[in-house]
Parts: sequence; C-alpha cells; structure tokens
Amino acid sequence: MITRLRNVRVCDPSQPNVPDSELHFDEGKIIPKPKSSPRLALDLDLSNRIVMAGGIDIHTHIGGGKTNLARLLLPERSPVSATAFLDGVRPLSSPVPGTWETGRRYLEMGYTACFEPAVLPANARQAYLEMADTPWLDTGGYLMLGNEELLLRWIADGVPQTQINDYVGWMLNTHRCMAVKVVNAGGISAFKYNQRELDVDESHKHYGLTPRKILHTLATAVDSLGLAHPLHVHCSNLGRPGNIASTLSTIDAIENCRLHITHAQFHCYGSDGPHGFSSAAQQLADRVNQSDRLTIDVGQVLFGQTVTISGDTMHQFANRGLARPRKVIFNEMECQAGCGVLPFRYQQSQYVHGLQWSIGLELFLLVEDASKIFLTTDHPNGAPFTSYPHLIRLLMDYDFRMSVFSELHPDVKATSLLPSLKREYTLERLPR
Amino acid sequence: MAVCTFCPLLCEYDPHGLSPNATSLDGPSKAGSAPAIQSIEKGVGPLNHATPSFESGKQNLDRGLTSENAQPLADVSQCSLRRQSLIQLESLSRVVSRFNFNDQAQILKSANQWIAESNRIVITGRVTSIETSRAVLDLARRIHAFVDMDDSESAFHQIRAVQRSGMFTATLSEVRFRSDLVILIGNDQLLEQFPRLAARLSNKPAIHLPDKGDSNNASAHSSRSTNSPVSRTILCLGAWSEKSVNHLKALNANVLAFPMDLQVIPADLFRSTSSTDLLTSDPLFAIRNLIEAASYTSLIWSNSLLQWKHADLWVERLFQWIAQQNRLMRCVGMPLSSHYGTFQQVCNWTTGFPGRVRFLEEYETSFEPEEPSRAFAQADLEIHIDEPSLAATHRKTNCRQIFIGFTPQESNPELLHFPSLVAGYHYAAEHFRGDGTIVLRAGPEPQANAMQLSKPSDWLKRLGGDRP
Repeated sequence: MITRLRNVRVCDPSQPNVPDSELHFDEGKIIPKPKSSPRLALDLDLSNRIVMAGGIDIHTHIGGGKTNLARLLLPERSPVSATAFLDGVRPLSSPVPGTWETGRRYLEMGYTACFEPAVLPANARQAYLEMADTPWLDTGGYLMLGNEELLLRWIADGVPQTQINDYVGWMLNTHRCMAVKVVNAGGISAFKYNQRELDVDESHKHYGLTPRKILHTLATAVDSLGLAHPLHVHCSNLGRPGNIASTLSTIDAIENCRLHITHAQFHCYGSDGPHGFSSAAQQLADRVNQSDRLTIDVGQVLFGQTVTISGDTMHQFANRGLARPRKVIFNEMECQAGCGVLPFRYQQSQYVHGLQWSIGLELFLLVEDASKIFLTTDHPNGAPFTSYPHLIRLLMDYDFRMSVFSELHPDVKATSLLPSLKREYTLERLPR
Repeated sequence: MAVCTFCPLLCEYDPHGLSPNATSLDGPSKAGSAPAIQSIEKGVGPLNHATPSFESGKQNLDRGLTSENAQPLADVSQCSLRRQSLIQLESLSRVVSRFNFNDQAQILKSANQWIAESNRIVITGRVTSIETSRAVLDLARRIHAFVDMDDSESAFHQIRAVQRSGMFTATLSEVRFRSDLVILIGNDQLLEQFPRLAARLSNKPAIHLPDKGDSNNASAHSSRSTNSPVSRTILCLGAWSEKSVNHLKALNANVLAFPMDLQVIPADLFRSTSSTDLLTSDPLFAIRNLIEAASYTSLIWSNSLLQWKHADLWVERLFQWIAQQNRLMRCVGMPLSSHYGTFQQVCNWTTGFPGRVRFLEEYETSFEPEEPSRAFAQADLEIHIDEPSLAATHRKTNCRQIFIGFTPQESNPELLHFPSLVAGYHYAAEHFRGDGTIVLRAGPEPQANAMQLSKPSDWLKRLGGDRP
C-alpha cells in the first residue's frame, strides 16, 4: 500500500530549489511516482510544510552513567504537562529527561539518529541499555579513551604504536563504539593524582606524559585503523579565559591526522577585554577554513536552566562554585575516567554567558563551509536539545538574531562580531 | 568467568573449577558481551575486527587488561552468603515443583480481572535485574500504578541527600587500585551483607602478575605500574568485632579499628580534621594524622545499615566532609547499595525519577520521594515481584495480591501466585554492581535445576492487557 504526500517542499542539500511536488512511499521507502493512480493507504496534504532527511545529532549526552546521575541530581521538574505549549514551544520536563521523553521529543523535531559522545568503557553496557530504551531513535556511541591507567602506562613506557592501534581497535570492538573521543587528555587521570591543571605541553605528574603526546598517539591510531570518524577531542582547559591557545596547540599536536573538536564554543576564549574574557572565534574559524582535516561541533549556549555533564572532572571541579542550584556530583570510575555533573543557569544579562552565546553564533557564521561545522548544543551542556528550532531560527534570521543580541550585556554588544555577520543560513544549507 | 549475584558486589568466579586460583575482575572489559545493543540491531557502529593484527594483538590486550584487574582472592565457593543461597534455592526448587502448572491460564485470567477492577494499584517487591525492572515499569505505565521497592528507604537516604547537595564518589576498582586509606564505616553487618568486600579490597598480591612475558616490554614493570599494590591502611570506624577486624587483617596488611557511635561519625570526622586542640591520646588525633598522610582517601559504607530516622542528614553530612577534603587533597565515598540499586537506575533513566513513581497519563509520572505509606494504605491491589526469592521480607498487605516469584509467600486469602525463575540463577540477566556504575551479566548458575517456569518479565508482559 502506497502513501502519498502532496504539495511537499523537499529540503535536499544535494538538490536545492526542488519545486513543490508529490512524494510516494511504499513499505517505508521512497518510490517513483506511479504511472497509474495507485490505491493509497494514506494521502496527506503537506502545504506549508517541509520534508527533509531525518536529523542527526552527532554530539548529545543521552545515555550512560553521568546522564543518569544528572537525572538523579535534578528532581525539580517542570509542572508542564506533556501536551502544554509555552510560546509555541513545549518545554522539557527536565534538562535531562528520561529516555521515553527524549525519544519522543527528538522525533517531534525530525531527528532520527543520535550519538552519545562519551561512552566510558566500563559503563558502555549501561549506556547502550539506556539508549536501547530511547524509542524511535537510532543510536550509537563514541568511546572515551585517553585517561585509562593502562593506556597511559603503555604510552609512558613507549610501547609500539601498533600495540596502541590494536588496543584502540579491540576497545572499540569490545564496547561496540564507532569512534574515539578524548576528554581533557590525561587530565582526568591527573586530577586523581591531585593535579589541578594540565595544559597541552604540561606533564602528568605520575606518568610524565603530556596531553600532546596522548592526543598524537590516539589520533594516529584512529587514522591507522581507518575509522570513519576522526578523533573527537574535548580540548584541555575547558571554559578557561584564554583557552584558545590550548585549542590551537591541540590542533597542532594532531599534526597530519584528522581531528574533530567537540563543543568548540567552550574552547575558543581569549583573555582580552574589560573582563579578561573575550571571543577567539575568528582565530578558530580561520583554522577550520584553512584546513581540510579539521571539523568542529559548536556546543551553542542558549539562555535558561540546564545541567552540565562532562567527563572532565578536573574542570568541572574547578567550576563547582558556579553550580545553580548549588549541588554537584563527581564520580571517578574504574581507573578509566570520571564525570562531573553541575547544574547551570545561563543568563542573558550576564557578561560571560552572553559572550558564550555570541561566540557560538560567530563560529557558525564565520566557518565558510557548512559541512565542516555541526549544529549542537552539546545537550544538555549548552542547552537542552529541544532548543534546536530556536537555534536554527537564530542562524536563518539576522533580524531575530539581533533582537536577542540587543538584550545582552553592554560589554558583549561593544565587542562582538555578530552585528557585522549578516550571513543567513537556508534550510538547504544548514550546518549538518 | 561467571558472575555471582547473591550480593551486589557481583564477584566473578570460575564456573567449572571453582579453583582456589580463581581471579576476579573489577571492570573495564565488562561490556564485551553487552546484550540488546541497539547499535548492533540497527547496524550502527560496531567494528568487526578493526585491525588486521587484531587477533594477535588481542591476546596481549587480554593479558594487559587482566593484569590491571586481577585480584587475589579465595575460592568464591568459600563465600558464606553464596553457599547459603545455593542451598536455599535448591530446597525451594522442591517446593515450587509441586505447583500445578495446568492452572496457569486460569490464574492469569483472574489476575487480569483483578487489575481491571482495581483503582489504586501498587507494585512492590525486590527486583534485581534490568530485564525485570523494564517489565515492571512498562506494566506500571500501562495500568497507571504506583511503584516502590521493598528496601527503597535505605536507597532514599542517599537519594534525598544527593538531591539536596550532591556527592563525590568512586567505583570499586578506583578504590582498590588507587586508595591508600580506606575508611570502612559501619559494623560487622557490612561484611555480612558483602562477605567478600575484604577480599575485593585486598592488596596482597597472591597472584603474580608478570608483565606479559614480552621481551620487548622490559620497562613495563616500572614504578608507574598499577600492578604494584598500593600500600594501604584500612581504618574501621563504628562497632567492629575483633573477629571482623582479624578477617580484614588476614587480607590486608594495615588494619586499624576505632570504636565509634555510627550516628556521630560524620561529626567526628569534621572534628578530627578541623579541631586544633585535639589531645594526642584522642583517637580523632590519630585519625587526622592518617587522613593528612593519605593521598587518596575512600570512605565505604552501606546505606542499609543506616536504620534511623533522617539518616539522609547523616549521608549529606558525610558527603559535605568529603567535598571539603577535596579542596586540597583527594577523597571519595563509595556507598554500597543493595540489589534495589538496579531498579532505581532503570527507573531513573526511563522516567527521570529514581523510584517511588506514580504513573499518570501515558508516559507522565509524578515523584513521591518521602516514604509512601499512604499509597500502600489506599491500595486495593498489590503486585509483588520477588526476584531473589530467598527470604519472605515483604510487608503484610490487606488487599488483594498478585505474587510473582520463585517461592510461595505467607498465605493471603486473596493471593494469586505466579512461580517464576530467578534472574542470575536460572537464567542470564544484567544487574548493577553495588557501586551503582558497573552492569554485569550473570547466570545461569551451573548447578541451577532447569525448571519449566516463566521469567518474571514474561508474566509481567502478560498482565494488564484487559485494563480499560
């Protein structure tokens, strides 16, 4: 039995400007328009609506121990019922909803595949069990390496690169993951040895290793194995003023390998300006524009209550005083990594939060090739994933963007590049 | 290696030999056989033998990982709790075998009739596996029930404390391999609940772990090697008998015990680290010296030993002390949960709440964290699931009861009983370890009798179908 969608506007990046037309489906697959009038199981008029491929969220924390800890920490839930709408948007019951709600809300936005970007090896079984309970979504995970005692010891002992390659391949296969993610290379381990800072060329006080060495070793393994994804890197010095230097050093450390920088907005801060905290989006965007081996996802900040969850215990611990409400969870896991869970409220009138909002958008608008930049809020770190429609409007509508911009702290307005960035994305050319 | 589920430590053992040389693993390679992995089912992600040299490398990697995690311990069959549990399950098998299986269809029909007639349904019991937890939640959603497990109050001591001010925790391997000071808080019951805790913390290298015998890897036994046991002190605070202390001493070199009132231990720890006028003869002075000398302190306790009102304040105070220690040094807690921890985790990821959940409209829930006695008083039907089935501990009920479990419970004139297999004993199932982080797949036990019974989840799926 055939399903027909009439008056359809198809958004297809490979074929822009397709005129409104009909689409026919049979057994879940798109088929050519039948020559004769078919018997229709369903016939829908989709005037003023859009048909596009299911969205893919490449970086969203939807499963695993830290996500469940965030749910535990935040029982304060919105009293809004499942069917209520506020200003056309139905709020989530919590920044980290249960799996049933997560699946439903992603599907409502047209997303069909989501990837948990930090699957801890020891916790992989839980992550996949959780994701299996998230209805309607295809899911997968990236394995978090780069802080396990075994790997650090092997790198410090100078084992051959082939042994590291075997290790990475075995770990991916064993834990059913499709890519490798490094979070603050060596830093989570260093924090367990009571080291509170670790920059790219600083030594881990127990292993004598630098993050540069760890990153290069793992990036080489990932490329040697021929993985589809490059090494995903959460850089050193998360959220610190001036951390653009660490981020650029990380890009250099990877040398000739492919690299994907995750939630780049949190890693491109300068230390200039009246508050010692400024945008370095132009510097990072220039590097992305110049390179054919570098991609980023943004981790856009949007205003409101959320919760930050990260494997980077070193920096989550340093930021614990910023928690709103004032409660935090830290967990150190199985000599492999750890996690920090910290509720956070991004405020439009606050200088740093406004700057973060602005930096994320600057990145979106300064990276020339939309295929090198991915649309994420690093759910729930920058904002819950349900804010994507709002974010897409910010990217597509200069006037709307400026109307939000006008409410920011005056010092953000005085220094931001946003007013000069008049680019407006189209649905066909949105960041991936 | 197989996994024993009779306590939440989920020790590994050799199911064939039960050899005295049996080793136990604490973690990292556990996800290897993860079942129900959506990415496999949907063709997303998993690599097949990622490198050409995968097979040759795997052997080294296996050994490498094992050397990280292998730990010396006695034969798991020496575990008293395990021995008792196996004997009990064997004798209960004879009771269950008298059940008239021809009546099953009729009982099921009656149960669904009861569900259809009821307005206030509560689901209680002891659920230890992820599969049954999922089935319980799905049934609760379909019939709009209130769900709370029997021993949840001890878990809620911690949940309430965490929801007010957070926590700082670590897992078993982290404590075992990193901690140079382990503070055991409680009394002898801690070792009765977790009989092999002392072995799991042991730092005596009964198994020699040469580094791979790889001639190219001469430097592997460097000072960085985590194979080298940490020089550790175990400090017992609370009411510990000499027998327990000696048991700990048999497996660990440095064990000290200071008798203390369990309820005031958090306050005493604050005093020990903040008072400047402690006498050198005061035990708190000695405790402070140990804490100050340690580089990574771990505190271990069991929430189920905190049997007094407002024990959540005790937990909160202890986490505050741990947080304070981390300003300058490293310190973590490892509260051990009961088998209830598995249900709490699954309920939390499914609904956003860690238990004590009332299901309202489709997929909508409300959370009732305080002890829900009202829900039980008003119930007109209780569905009770008893997975471990080793002791009839559940509360008396004054309403109709549907009982799903291996063993018959006390007689209730309005009781429908569905005998079911035991997760981890009769069939393989996933359970959370007591540290709340690691999921292991356990069972079936080699000695378990094959019985013609259904799993609890099979019964649960067949209930509630007739409810309007």
